Amino acid sequence: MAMNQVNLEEKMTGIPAALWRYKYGLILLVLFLIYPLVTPSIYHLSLLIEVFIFTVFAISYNLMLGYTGIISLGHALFFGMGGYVGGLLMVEADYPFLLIIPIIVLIAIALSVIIGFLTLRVRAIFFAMVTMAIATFFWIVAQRWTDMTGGDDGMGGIIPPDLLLPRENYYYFTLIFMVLAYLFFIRFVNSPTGRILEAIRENEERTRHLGYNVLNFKIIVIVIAGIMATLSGFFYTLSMRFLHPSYLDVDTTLDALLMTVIGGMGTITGPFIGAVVVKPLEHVMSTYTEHWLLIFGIIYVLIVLFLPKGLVPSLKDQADRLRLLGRKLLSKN
Amino acid sequence: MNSEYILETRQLDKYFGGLQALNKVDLTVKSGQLVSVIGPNGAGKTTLFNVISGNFHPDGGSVYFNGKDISRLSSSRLSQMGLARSFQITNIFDNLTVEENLRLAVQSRGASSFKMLTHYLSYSDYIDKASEISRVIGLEGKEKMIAKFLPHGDKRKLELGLVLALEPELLLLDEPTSGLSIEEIPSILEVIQRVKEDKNKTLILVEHKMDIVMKISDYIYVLHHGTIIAEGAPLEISENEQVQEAYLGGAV
Repeated sequence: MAMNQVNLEEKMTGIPAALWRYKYGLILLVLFLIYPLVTPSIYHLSLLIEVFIFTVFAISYNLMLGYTGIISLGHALFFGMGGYVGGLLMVEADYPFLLIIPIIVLIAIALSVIIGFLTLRVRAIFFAMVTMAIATFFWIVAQRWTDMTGGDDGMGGIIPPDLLLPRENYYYFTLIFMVLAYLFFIRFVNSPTGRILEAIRENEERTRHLGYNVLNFKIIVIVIAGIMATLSGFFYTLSMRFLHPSYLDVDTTLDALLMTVIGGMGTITGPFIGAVVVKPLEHVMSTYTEHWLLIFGIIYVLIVLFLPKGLVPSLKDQADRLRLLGRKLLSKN
Repeated sequence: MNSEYILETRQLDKYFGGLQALNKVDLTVKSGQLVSVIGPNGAGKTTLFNVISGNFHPDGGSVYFNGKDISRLSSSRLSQMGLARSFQITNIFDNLTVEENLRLAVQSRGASSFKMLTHYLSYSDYIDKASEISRVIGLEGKEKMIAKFLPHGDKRKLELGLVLALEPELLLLDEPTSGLSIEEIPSILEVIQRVKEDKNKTLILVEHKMDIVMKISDYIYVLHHGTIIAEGAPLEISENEQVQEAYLGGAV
């Protein structure tokens, strides 16, 4: 019976079915849409902007780690590249916002294709190490090239275009950014290509023997993930109106990793849940203690140990178990 | 090259460190035949399959498929060309359903693998084909089961199904009956027999169970320490003294 239901929902197509399937997401979307009308708090809006942007960043990481099984230890590379290249083009070269976007997207594509071809054909660990090395290299450049980047002091004056200047407008802009990213994400992982990614994660050797060129599909994923992370970094920089080398450091990559694992690897809801949990917690904890990363380390270990599927899927499992138990008890009476 | 052979290996060598796993292996397979490769454990049978199917490249010699040198091609390329293999140790997508396992194999023969924005279920012919295959291999009604929860025998069937779904010209089957109980063997054999009856399909079989090999093979190669020590029709092989000594322990 339950199986038939799943079957039916899977086979339903068209707009009504899609609306029904994502009912919780839609309710949430409506709440987010009216939220700025209810509260005047700039702080809360800024926090939500950060959540929206990091959701997209986490989606990009989830596509690699959760769906394809590719580990990157330097995903901040793209985030920071988007921020620095975009920000510098804006401040130093006075490029318009709409021109910067295609430029950083093209750089992201080139960068991921090159890294992919160089590293993904060998062992998986090479990709992880090389991304980390390149991210660290750029981080050093951002630190040391003080004339250009302001070094560790960072660089301010990165102002969004007039239309996006009010906080509310920027809030809606990043909300749309997240929604578009989600729409793409959902379609993509349910496409024939997306299914191949899961096949690669499950059993790379067999996927190859089925006739799929695994390298091509991995490169497709890291290109898409690279573009998403780059845009997230640029929009984050515009939201902060500030550039800092920390956008390129390991903590930023760890943010994406944490969000993916906490929300649930290889799940649709995971990136959003991860961002909603991690970002506000970071803010709250950092006001109490400098060692908040340590606390995150502990949370991370606990989740990996006890909720290995991530917060939502594990809780769903528990709920299903309870429901089953309840049904059993009822049918006995 | 003789075009009457769908597969030909010439002087195939493969080393693992100091160990020579394959030693000047010459093997020819005619289209439409069922050829078996037998030999004791460690004789190099699986290595031979790994080299033919592109898992490893040979250290010497070449492999020809339909007259084309395929020694340096990748396994994904070979699979696309119509050369597919199964594995001795079950090698399926554990966490996907039976249907999705088969659907992925069917999809690789279609032209939609780079479609990134259409729903995978909208290609209903793939699903139809997948359920047809699951009927053929006797997994009907188990399509929605997660593969890792299948009993061992069903996993072996799925392993075979993944190869069938690719609709290859040449099938390399690495011990399709390994680990199966006596009751389960006939249903797998029946599937293999049915493939054999299709004149467009050629099979190479690695198998330990001699009664099966003798019954269904058209031709047999005997591999021992990486060298082919005998070849011939089943009857010749069972009467060959050298084979009996090396492999059958002196008696059949």
